[in-house]
Amino acid sequence: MMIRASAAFALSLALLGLACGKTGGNALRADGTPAGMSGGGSSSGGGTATGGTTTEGGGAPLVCDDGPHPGPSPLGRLGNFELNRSLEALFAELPAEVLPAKLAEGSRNDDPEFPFSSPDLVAWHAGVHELAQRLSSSPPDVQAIAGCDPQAQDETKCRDQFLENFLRLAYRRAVTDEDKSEMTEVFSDGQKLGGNFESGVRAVIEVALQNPDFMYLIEQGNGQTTGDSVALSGYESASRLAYFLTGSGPDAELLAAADKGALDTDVLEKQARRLLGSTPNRNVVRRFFTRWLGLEVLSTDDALGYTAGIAAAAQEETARFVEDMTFDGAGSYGALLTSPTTWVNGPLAQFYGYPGVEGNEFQKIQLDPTERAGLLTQSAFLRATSSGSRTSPVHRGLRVLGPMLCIELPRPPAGIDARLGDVPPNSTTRQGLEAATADPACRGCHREIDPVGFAFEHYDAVGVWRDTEKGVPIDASGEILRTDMQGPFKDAIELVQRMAASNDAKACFVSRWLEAAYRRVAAPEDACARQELERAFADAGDQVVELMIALTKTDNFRYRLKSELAP
Amino acid sequence: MPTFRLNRRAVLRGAGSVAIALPWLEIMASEPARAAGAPAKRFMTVFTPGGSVLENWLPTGDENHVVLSPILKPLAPVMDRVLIPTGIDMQSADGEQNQAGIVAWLTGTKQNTAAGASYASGPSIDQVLAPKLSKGLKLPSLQVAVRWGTGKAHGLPSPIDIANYADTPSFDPIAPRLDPQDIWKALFGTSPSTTPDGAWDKSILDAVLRRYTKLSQRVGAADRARLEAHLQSIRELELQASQLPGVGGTVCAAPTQVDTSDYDPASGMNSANDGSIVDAQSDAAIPKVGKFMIDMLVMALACDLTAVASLQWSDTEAKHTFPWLGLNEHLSFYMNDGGYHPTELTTIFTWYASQHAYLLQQLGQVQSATGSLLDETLIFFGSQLQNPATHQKTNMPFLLAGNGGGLRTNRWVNYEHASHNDLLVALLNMCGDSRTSFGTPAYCHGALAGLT
Repeated sequence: MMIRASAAFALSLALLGLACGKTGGNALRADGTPAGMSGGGSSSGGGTATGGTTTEGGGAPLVCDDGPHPGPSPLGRLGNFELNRSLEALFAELPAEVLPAKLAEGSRNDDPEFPFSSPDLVAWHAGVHELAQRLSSSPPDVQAIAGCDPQAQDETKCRDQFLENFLRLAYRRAVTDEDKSEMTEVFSDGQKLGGNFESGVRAVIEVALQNPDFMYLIEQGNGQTTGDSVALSGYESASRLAYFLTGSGPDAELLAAADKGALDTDVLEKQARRLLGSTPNRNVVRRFFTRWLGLEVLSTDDALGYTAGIAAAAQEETARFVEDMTFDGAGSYGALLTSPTTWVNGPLAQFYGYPGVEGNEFQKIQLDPTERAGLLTQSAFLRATSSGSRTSPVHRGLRVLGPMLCIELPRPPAGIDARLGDVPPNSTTRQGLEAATADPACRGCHREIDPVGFAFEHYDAVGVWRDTEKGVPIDASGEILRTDMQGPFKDAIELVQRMAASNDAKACFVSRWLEAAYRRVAAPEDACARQELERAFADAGDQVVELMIALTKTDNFRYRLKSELAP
Repeated sequence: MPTFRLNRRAVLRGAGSVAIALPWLEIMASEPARAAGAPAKRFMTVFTPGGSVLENWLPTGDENHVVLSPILKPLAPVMDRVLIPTGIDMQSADGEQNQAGIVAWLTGTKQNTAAGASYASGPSIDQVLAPKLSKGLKLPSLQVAVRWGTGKAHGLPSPIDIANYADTPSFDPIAPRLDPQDIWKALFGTSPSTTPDGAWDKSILDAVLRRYTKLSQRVGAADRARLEAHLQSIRELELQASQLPGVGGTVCAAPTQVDTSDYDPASGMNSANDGSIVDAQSDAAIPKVGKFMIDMLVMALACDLTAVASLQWSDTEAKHTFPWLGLNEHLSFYMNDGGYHPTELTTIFTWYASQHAYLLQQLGQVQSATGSLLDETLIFFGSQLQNPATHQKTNMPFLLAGNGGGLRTNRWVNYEHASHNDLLVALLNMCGDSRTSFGTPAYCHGALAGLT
């Protein structure tokens, strides 16, 4: 999937009627497997695990140690984010101006399961055309890409050298004889039409960057089968690893490792640690959290002082906090949820009312731990879950229950007018919502959703602290009806602290990372991987980086189902 | 004015191809030459947001003596080419109120909310018809939209704004084209400075096509379906590259290019969820851009670039303002965000009707071998809701127009709770597709009678 944060409320209609009004029942996860709420679904949820065998939701025992268990690996496209980054990496040594305008990122444009949109393909087609044209009109650039000078040496040799160098990076694998013969033809067609060596180079670049070998993660395996699984080639594993951890294709060192054949878990771990040690790659973590929590777009509201500048600063706050916390700070899931620190610059600090920060540089500050704790008490999350100038406890509750706890709730039943409209003048948001959802047809779900959202009522529609609303003291107390977090809480601080310690919340977090790494929604077949990951995550003290490393060592990075290949 | 040549299927009468010499009323005066039961050669859909204000939409009178309501009044000059079917219920719309409506409108299926899946649970009728009607033409179908992707869609495909869904196993949503200048270039001209030159581009795309074809034969079935869908998109690109100049055939005139530099087709990208960000300049340009889009669609059909076209007036939210109507809030504001405003909504919906009248008039002015383009085309006008106040999907404000497929026009047919799926089946049948059910089976009882 990648994280469908913007579609955080999307859920399977198949769940209708199952999810609401039940506590401790057989609720389903978003992926259709039993949630680990009251047993089943994950090792943390009470399944009994002995010697690699666990019971899945009380059903047949699950055997995990009898060979590889890759889940499905549908053919994935590169997301627009990945296309943009791959292009930057391919031409990293050339001036940035040669690159075409970036494709729009975010939303389904970055979803590997979602096909390219027609406008994107048109834009990509035009973009690589421009790029190739610009490059080919500059002989030094052509020489830089080719690694040789066609004037100074045999032209054919230089062409072959160019094909070898360029296609290896573009296709992210060893160049085959078939590639060479196809591209020699493309080169010579280009040379004929354009009249010189540079035109040949241009044609090859244009074709290669539109070919499936570049635009998709083609996985054919290396022919070695074990049971229902085929081992991936070293290159295929390397691409999985690189796109997961860097958003771009494998670098020279990773490709060199893949030249030696299939990657074992030791090599994967070593390479993963190396890639995660590189600062530019941290933006993959930033992206994960942005998509997970649905922070891609924050609505501005000039009347509330939430200008485009403040909205951008709020996004930056969360991004800096996440990167710093993951790589340089405590690094744990719990710290991300509860740390009473953040990153702000002068204007944002002033907006929040935090004293003592001047200028446009972001800096780390300590916050009042009774008012702020971690990600969910930052403006980005609070604004993204508000509706215009009022807070939306419904959105806030759903965002916690769905993306963070993997509890998906159905939409309002057909025939119900679910528009809330304005809060009546004499009531608070909380009172207004409670009155509007008093109908028994609404209560089934809203009794579960709204109290979670009420936890955040101390933060207004732009995330600024408030003690009262319309003169009435804020009531941020609520209750959570399911999961091992079950029970009443007094405010958001208590809610996030409980979440930080919750095995169910952590199991959900693991699933979301699994989805980012596997480039699809979690599937029932992931049970073994999830069990392994939850253990590794717990053993590593809930360190996010260790979870990412553990993911790269799971079977999906090394195997594919035989049934997914051509017979 | 740039001109180009094309292979014409329906030969246009008269020198210079587009017969604009005959005044509109004279064309209308003669009863269209219809071969009863001859399938429509072209199919077109027009989406307008928000449904209608039903009490100002429903006609009075009787079947053959239609008294037009305030909203439909602008259709008076073309009423003899219009059929108003009322009482049709869009039962298949299941899901979020607005989203399910636009999803169901042309697919007759419920909204699919499963992760990783399309928004629809089936293809849209235009996509089912495209391969047959547009066989041999440059584009299987053409989708354009004006001021699209507002509000929560943020300029991106979303269940809020997609009406067209591919006839493939995954029913992929088809995003409309938005930039009038790009559309003009793709359809009617190439500007040498910005677009690849034909021979070069063809050579590149041929090589890409060969690679997709080769690789798709080596991968598993599911992977192959994805590569083949991509292959189809590349083919479309190639058709565009190879379009001009065509060989032989009738000379065909491109519509005059209109300056739309004051209009940002990607304005939706900057939108706020609640419509609070106003792009006043683009909003003011909507009437001009809309007219240009209609002119291009009409010529795309007239010149046989495609036989299947879709026009979307915004998306289901239409979070843009209507300054030319003196309305400075967005549609959702008038629908419910700012309380229900029937007067303002009536003004907006009346304007959409007037634009529809313009489209039908333009189609009527293009002469074809058997009459006019309007005689050979079937046009389906609709929305995602019955009306903004209730968000109901019963008694939908639909219009049918054109005499393609033998549609009997100048009529009001008042059905009582007829099924929208049955209407879709009837439309398919009128376009030469003989299936007897379409979309959610539970709502299919056979083609809707009384249209032809």
